[in-house]
Amino acid sequence: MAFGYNGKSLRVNLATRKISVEEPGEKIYRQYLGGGTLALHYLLHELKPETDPLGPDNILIFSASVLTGALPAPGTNKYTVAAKSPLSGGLGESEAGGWFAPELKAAGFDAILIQGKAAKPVYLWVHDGEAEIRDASHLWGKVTGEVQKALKKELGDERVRIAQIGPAGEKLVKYACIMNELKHFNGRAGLGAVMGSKNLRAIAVRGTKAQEVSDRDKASAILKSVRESYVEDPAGLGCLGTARVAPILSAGGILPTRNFSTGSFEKAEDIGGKRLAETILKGRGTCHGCYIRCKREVEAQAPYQINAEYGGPEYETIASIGSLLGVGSLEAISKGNELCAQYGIDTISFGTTVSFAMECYEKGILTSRDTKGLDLHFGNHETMLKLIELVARREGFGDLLAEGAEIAAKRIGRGAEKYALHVKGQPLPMHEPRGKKSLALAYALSPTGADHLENPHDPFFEKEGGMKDIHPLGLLDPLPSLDLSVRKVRMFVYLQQYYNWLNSIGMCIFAAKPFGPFTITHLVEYTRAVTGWDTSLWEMVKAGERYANLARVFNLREGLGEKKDRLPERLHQGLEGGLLKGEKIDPEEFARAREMYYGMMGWDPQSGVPSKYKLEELNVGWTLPLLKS
Amino acid sequence: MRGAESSNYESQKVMIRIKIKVYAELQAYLPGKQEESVIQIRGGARVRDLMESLKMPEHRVMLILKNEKKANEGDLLSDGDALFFYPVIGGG
Repeated sequence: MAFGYNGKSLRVNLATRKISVEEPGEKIYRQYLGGGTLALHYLLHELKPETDPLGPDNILIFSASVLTGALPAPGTNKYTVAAKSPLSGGLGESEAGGWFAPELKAAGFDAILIQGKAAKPVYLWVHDGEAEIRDASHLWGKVTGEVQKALKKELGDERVRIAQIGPAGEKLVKYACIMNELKHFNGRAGLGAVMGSKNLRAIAVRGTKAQEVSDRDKASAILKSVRESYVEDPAGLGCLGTARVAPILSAGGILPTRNFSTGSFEKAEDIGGKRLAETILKGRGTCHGCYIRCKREVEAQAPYQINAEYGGPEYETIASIGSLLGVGSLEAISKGNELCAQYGIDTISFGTTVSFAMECYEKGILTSRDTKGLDLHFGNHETMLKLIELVARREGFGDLLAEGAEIAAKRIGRGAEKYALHVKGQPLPMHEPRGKKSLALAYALSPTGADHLENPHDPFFEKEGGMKDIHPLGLLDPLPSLDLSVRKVRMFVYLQQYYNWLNSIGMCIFAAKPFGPFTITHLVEYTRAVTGWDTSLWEMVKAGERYANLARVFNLREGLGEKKDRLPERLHQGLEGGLLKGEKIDPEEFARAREMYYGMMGWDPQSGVPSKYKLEELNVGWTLPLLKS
Repeated sequence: MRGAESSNYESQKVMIRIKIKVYAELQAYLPGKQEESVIQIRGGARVRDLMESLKMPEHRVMLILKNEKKANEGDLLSDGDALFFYPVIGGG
């Protein structure tokens, strides 16, 4: 009997309209757990190499985990969406919290596999073990809020949970996102474009099945202990949200500002979480089972009307369409956040793409003739807001920016490429590797391109007291944030596998150490109680490592190897201002660290190709033929 | 040398006033969980002594500014200094 999970994946072919149910078996769940790891199990078995990411043969996977929704537990509500990415041409993967995944589990499935392209716009209706493909012609072209309202009305149940793309996904904007309940985003990797390419506007789920839990009393006791260890801080994550960090990062010289030219923004206090709480915060939102309540809901009437239905800006958005663009208006950022949610655009990629264009404009590489009259100087928030709609509709200058910074730069030429900050086509998120150097490895080596959630960042681990949370991983010695020695590489390797494990079980980083109340030991014990498996930290971290290797194989098969594990040139140059002015990622030090990383992972130190020994050790020797092809 | 020791000894008899501002999670360590405060401490105290008096653990502090310049736990304090404390944050 399966505990914590259903043991069922729903397979839907939109072209043939065939719907079937598969049961992967306990050994698959135990080795792959869920999330990106389970998704890679399917992608590597089924997706043919060199598939067009926006063609009908790409496979789009929604994957919960063996823990998702088992009990109302903080953080255990995330799910992964994965496919081949139109941004990188390699693995595309992105996680979201909210309400969709627990509902999917209650509907009787752990994962949904979408194949083929529907002949006309459709949505998928999944409910209590059943699924049907329904017409969505009447929803096509509408903003997300209207679609959510229409679907809940059509299905006659306000408790239906809806994951959907917006008009940007329909138009195949390369960084279109997927969202659930209008404010929880699978933001990255352009997965909204993949969904749009399949003519799939939404997936609605509703379920009433409670998950079986192996030892409910034990699991509840662990959750009680976790709850008792959590004390809400009146100026912490819950009360002030993720955006509270903007002025802190700016003071430290590591707030991405004006296309990563500097790390300090003169208006950082104006766009931080404290100011947000004092001005436009209407309420705090949350995800299934979570008492941290870090989500924001903002409302305003002037200078912009902002609807709290779409939540409010997270730190990533505050920086990506704020400091990165030189924009210091919290209201304009919040309006931009709402528009991106209405159209289904990843705010990070949008911001980094616009900041690229703004720098090109300031440097004279782009002129108002290129931009069709738009004034792209840094700080022009009206242009930022206008561009959201132009990108979403692929109109005018927006059509070029809808391709993302990498492709836009190639098309512009004239030296524009050096201002396009991306890794593997994925625009940089809002953390500064020059001030916390494990991020140089994270950005270069994440299988999905520049990603800030590969590992908890360096400042946590500068002092002995901060190491306590990660002692169970065998990490004992603190290291300075600016260190990129072999000892930092070892710390990164271990922490990356820890976070790969969290992604595989759908665990939010803000509910687990070093951010949240779940200790590493709690997580292992909770997994044991829910699943009934006699498991251990060893087995769980090995699952994380399995993910890293499967993702590597996926990318190598698509031609993304060592040459793509690079940083944008700007990060090898000194910051132009702020507390860390002049600090850079030394190219030779980075090259040594990367080689050390490959070696520690059991990969060839030069080419970064996993050894057959490592793949066999992780029981994924079945992928070896994929490397040879 | 003897003179310096004597001066240091004398300075410990007087109290100095330090203006403090803390960010986000570090508010928990200021009296009344305030964002700003003025703290009195003995002359000759260092930043570390002040943090200890507030029970502010060093591993929760990412950055200290003294009079708008980067400071360390071992720095000496003077009457009227303004200290800013920023908490450890990391990703997300």
